[in-house]
Amino acid sequence: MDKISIFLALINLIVATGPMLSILVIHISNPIEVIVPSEVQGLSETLVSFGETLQTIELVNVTYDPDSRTITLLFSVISGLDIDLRIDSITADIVCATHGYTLGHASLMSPVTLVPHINSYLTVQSHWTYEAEQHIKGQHNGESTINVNLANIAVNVDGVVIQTSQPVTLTNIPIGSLEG
Amino acid sequence: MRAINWLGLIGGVASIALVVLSPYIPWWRLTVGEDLFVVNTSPFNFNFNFLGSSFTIPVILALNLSSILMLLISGMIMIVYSLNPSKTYSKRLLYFAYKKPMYSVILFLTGIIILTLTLNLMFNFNIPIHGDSQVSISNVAQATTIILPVKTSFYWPLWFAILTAIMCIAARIYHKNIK
Repeated sequence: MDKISIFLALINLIVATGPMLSILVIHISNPIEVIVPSEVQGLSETLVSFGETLQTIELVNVTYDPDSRTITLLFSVISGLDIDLRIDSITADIVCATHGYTLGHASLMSPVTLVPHINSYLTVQSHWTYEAEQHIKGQHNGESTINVNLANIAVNVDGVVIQTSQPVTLTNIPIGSLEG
Repeated sequence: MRAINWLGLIGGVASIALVVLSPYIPWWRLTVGEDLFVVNTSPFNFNFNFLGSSFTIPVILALNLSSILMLLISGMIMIVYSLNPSKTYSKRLLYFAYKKPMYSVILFLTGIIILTLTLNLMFNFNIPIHGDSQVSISNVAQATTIILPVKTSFYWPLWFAILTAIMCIAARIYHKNIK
């Protein structure tokens, strides 16, 4: 075997094994980090932050316009993530919590970008149907507020759709002049 | 007139260019949602980003470094060979260098195919090698379904790599005609 062949074989060997051996030496105290780096810890923190973001969603205001039969729900949310999250859409059925009667369909008025660690507001609107009005006049006569369930909720976050059939109950929703 | 293996020279320069370009433009990209989860990959670079958190896996970094060094050295050796194709040692240089770009392409594509097949078979995630699909994850206990739009694409450096591999193989074939 001549010198060139030996030189080329050495290059093959060093290049193929050198970086891997170097990485092993760097992580000699904790070899598992070669496959599962410490940054994975950051990944789990990101997941926790995402979960915490969902938990900060809070209904802060409800208004009802009897002329247009429009109910407007204002939610606040604080994103715990370090990146902007865009809420493209939110849709849900609004159902009477007492009778299970569908009162209308709610949707996000316009897309909202959640800026990290700052309060953002989501405005969700729903138009009561004529039948909903009749239901409230008939079944909730004399009441000024009712409890409703948001059912079949679908949230589109940056293209990812989260759907849940588990209802969310909103209490003391004003029905104002609807009552008969 | 001095003999030059032009195909080898182009292949050698292209090999070096490929290494220089690959950190900036991936060969293959996987995106979930609108950049919520992104994987950019090539034999020379692997970048993983999830909701703004990014990291590299040391074992993959080592493989990337090996690939970078291997293709850089083989590119340089290919250039040295191409400028002196009729020397007594040239054949050894050519035989060392001409297969490396082809190995990069084959190993990379094999890795991508294994990755997508594994995700499909183990987790029933229908992830295409190139195209769009939707992955649905259901949590029955919480009555929740998450629908993830998945997009995968090959980028032009892969085609450039295939062309480089073809050039280097063509240089090996053309070598027989150099006296």
